[in-house]
Amino acid sequence: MRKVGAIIKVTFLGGVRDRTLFGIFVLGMLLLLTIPVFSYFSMRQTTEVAAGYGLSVISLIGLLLTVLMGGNLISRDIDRRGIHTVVTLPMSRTQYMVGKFVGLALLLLVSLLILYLLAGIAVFLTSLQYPPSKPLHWQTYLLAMVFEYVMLLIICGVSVLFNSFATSTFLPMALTIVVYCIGQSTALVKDYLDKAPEAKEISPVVSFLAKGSYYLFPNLSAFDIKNGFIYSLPVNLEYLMMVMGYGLFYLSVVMFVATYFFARRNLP
Amino acid sequence: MKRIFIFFLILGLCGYSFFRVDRMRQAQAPIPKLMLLPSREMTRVISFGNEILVAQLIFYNSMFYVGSLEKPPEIAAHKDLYHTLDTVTYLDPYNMDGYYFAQGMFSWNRLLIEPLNILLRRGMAYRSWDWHLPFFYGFNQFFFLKNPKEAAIYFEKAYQLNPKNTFLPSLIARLYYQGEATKVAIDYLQEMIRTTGSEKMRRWLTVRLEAFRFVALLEEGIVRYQERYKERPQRLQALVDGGILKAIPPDPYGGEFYLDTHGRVRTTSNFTYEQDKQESSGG
Repeated sequence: MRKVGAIIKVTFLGGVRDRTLFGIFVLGMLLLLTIPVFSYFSMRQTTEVAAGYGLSVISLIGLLLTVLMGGNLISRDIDRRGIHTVVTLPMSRTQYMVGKFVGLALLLLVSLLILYLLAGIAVFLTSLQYPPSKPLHWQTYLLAMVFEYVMLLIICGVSVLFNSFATSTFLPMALTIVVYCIGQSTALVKDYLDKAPEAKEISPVVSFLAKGSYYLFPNLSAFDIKNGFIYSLPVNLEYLMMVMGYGLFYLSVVMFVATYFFARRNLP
Repeated sequence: MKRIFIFFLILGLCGYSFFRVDRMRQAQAPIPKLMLLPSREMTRVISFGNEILVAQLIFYNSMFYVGSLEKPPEIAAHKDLYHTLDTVTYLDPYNMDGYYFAQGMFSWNRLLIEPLNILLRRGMAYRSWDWHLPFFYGFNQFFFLKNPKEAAIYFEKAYQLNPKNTFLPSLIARLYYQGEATKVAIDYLQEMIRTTGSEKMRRWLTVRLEAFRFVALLEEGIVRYQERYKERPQRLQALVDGGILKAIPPDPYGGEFYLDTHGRVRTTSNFTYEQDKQESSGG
């Protein structure tokens, strides 16, 4: 356990010291400072626009952090030959990979907490000046953060999976972005194929591939409950619990496959 | 010393080139255009989970486009603008900016009144707590679709959602009297002007309100004329000749007020600017 803890610590501190990640984090904070400017132009829903903008910025920054950090997670150690030192230590490759993942997860958690705190302050101050049509539900804000975090963990897990067999830094990053884009849109595409009358003209092969993607790739849009906070909508706790369960199980499966591949990989 | 001189020389050149670029840019300021959007379904897919942000950005584009115009957008541009606002409210069906802007833009375009009502029905399905949407929908039913019963149902809904709106009960009472249509329009426009966040839209709505106040003035004049002379005037000029009004008020849209064959006050401008009428007849 102590060995895994050491890997977690090294990964976390490595992320904190990484200038690129720090730059992205600062960019996120600067973007959050523009919340008053962006929401000012709204005609009827200034606070709602401030909340929507803030949460979207955090979502984008979170994605950037995950993709960049996740893409480098193991391939950097391989490139710099640091992996050779690690594999000689009395620890399994699975422990090493889990340690790396948890380190990144901690880094993401701290980043999200800071960004959500800043965005929350900005939205709260905006709501004092422009009261929203319905009172803001801050408990939904926390829920939105938790689900955003779980979504990022899944992306992180996917990145780890690609790291487990990729030989370059670029490939895991590119593939993770592709999975993110597919994961955000499969539910919409499936709904379209199921309901839209014009979808009947689409080729059965394309339809099969699209529906197959829906079941294979993570359904990331299910984790998006930003609307619930922005427009103070009631949340369906049973649905959220199911989504949370789906997320954690999906992540477990991805990590299981990743450790399987990594354990059997020939390291250079 | 030499370095300092070079630094200030470059700084000066930088300032000069910026000044020139700024002047040239202002001289040939690009005409703001609406975003060319794919279908709303495709826009949603390529938003990759950021529908709310994308919807607001598209809305801002349409608002800045309209805001850059001196007069309300031409009728021909309404179709593109409608697609834009339809996309906004499809991506984010809770987006009140989109519904409000659509109501302000399209309610006087008879070709778009039914599509506009489709947007408002979408809004009512999602923003079930918001009294503005049934209020807008009810007004469209009454004033443009001549359906007072349907209008009364939606004004009633609006009142139930916000009982603090004391003007709504009197509005409902007026619905069944066609002669009160002008006063309903005035109430509606006053509410729109009170709550709009756009200065440009407020200005356009104020012009429309002014026109309807003149119509109300003329309608009152006709009633007084009938009381005094026991007959309806054949022309509006009769109100001046009969000492009811000092003059016929000017139509703020550049047209002229007149009495139609049913004795109702009309205007040659049809409450639109000349340019719009040409577009409308041309298209």
